[in-house]
Amino acid sequence: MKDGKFLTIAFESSCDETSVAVLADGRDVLSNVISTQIEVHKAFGGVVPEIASRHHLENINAVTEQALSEAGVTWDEIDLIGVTKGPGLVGALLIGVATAKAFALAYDKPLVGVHHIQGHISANYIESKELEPPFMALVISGGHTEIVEVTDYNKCHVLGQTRDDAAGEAYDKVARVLGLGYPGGPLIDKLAKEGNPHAVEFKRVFLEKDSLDFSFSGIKTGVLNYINQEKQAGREINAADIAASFQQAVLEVIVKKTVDAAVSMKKDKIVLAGGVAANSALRAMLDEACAKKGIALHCPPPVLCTDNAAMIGCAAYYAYKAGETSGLDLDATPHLPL
Amino acid sequence: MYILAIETTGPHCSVALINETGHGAARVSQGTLNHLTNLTPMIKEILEYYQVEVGDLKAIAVSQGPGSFTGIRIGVTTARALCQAKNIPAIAVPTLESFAYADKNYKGIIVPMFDARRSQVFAGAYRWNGGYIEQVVKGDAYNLADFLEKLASSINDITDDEVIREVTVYGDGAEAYGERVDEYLDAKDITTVLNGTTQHAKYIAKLGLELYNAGKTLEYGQLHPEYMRKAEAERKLEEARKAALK
Repeated sequence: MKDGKFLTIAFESSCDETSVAVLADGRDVLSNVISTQIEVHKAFGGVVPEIASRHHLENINAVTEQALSEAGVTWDEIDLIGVTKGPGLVGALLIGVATAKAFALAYDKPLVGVHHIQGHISANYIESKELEPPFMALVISGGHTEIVEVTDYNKCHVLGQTRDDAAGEAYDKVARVLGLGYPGGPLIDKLAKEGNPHAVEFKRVFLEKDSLDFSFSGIKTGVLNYINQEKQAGREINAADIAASFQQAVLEVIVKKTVDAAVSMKKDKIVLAGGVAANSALRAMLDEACAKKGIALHCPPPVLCTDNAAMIGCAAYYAYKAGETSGLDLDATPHLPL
Repeated sequence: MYILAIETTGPHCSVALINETGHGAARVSQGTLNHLTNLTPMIKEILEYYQVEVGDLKAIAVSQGPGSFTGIRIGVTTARALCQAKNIPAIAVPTLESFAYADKNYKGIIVPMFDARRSQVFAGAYRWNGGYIEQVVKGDAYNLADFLEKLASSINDITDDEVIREVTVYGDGAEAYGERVDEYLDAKDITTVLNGTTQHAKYIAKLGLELYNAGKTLEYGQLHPEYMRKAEAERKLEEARKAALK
């Protein structure tokens, strides 16, 4: 406790970001240090788990030090330790989990393991101070595409999810095909601004009627086929048009399903969460669709959309307030259902 | 004075607590998986049993590898955070060399050998000489055939009459490659004993204490894993770059 406020320190290391944050009363971010390895993995065209794990180990202690000093807080004042327990890369996750447990033992502080996606959703509590459940959440990132009904701070269930690739994966694959580089999300989003979203009508995959699930593996093939067909016909490829059309096809499906879910479950709020939530076209399309239905849309700022420990700290805080704690035998779980 | 030792690079997770005389106690996990789940509770238990606080420790010795990459990281990460939390020095203990403490009175050659698959081993060779550990073959990653050649020639170079021409193989390499080791060394007139005992925190503690007494302690940030091998993707990328230059 400091100045009557409850202090949480949180650790996130599920993929290629090493992050440690300190929060006051669960929603007030005192520090949120993020050490990204993106440059390291660029040479490989994607995150290499073994290399990510090695870097997390080397980074996490200095990031911890920095998070505490930026927050102006000492370990004695910390009330709770939160950590991402899964899902994610197991070798990466375990660095955060082992570190959090060692600190919990050394300082005799309570520990809470947090679901990574619960963290992404909780980023909205940090951004929108008045936001309270219930609401509908769209979780969209490199590894996730999920429509989640949130009924309480720690209660939610998945209504729909991808059956193959996550949206972010589809972005990465198409970016590779277009020779844009890695990571694909921001690169396609940027290039799409210069293109015509209706230049190519890629197939919109809605699956069965009323299904809230997604499938994005087909669209990558669709883009590949289109490029080959154009090349064979001797026509020049317009990468910006392809990027814009691909994005339009993916986002139309996502936006429609999310808004339909909110309407049918009678939710007047939608929150965006996850790395792809920073995508400008998605925000614009969802904004428009929500406005038509009188639904309030909440989006965290980009720094809280990317993997970060502040969101984990927020989720840990609410879990702890609901009576949840983890033992020192806490494990890292790569495939953890929400 | 107490030193805590951590070993997570092998099949069993183990911890040990020893004092300056080298006496102490150890705990070994039942199962062979999930060092992450086992380690912190085992540390807590042994410290509480002997009524030692983390902050009372003079140093934390950790098995730094080689071994399971994931295992190495669990031990080193835990040690780093504990040392950071309580401002305790760390001791990086070379895992292979620690096997010298499996038999301090042995007159032959101690050969720790870990199976790194595809006929590769992490291995080294050591012997006791006047109360000190002498390196016979440097601990490193080898092709099994290369290691055996090095081992036999290094043993032939030893002039000390006290040394017997016998090798005792420790680690999971004994089971994986024991027959090949025996066959090769037998032809060189060297006896092979397959022991097969795997990594243990009590060996880490003893070598750790020796390193501590020699002043070889580190700050937590200087404590690094000793993988002895690059990540697969890194190796492939380097090969591809080399090939592109040709």
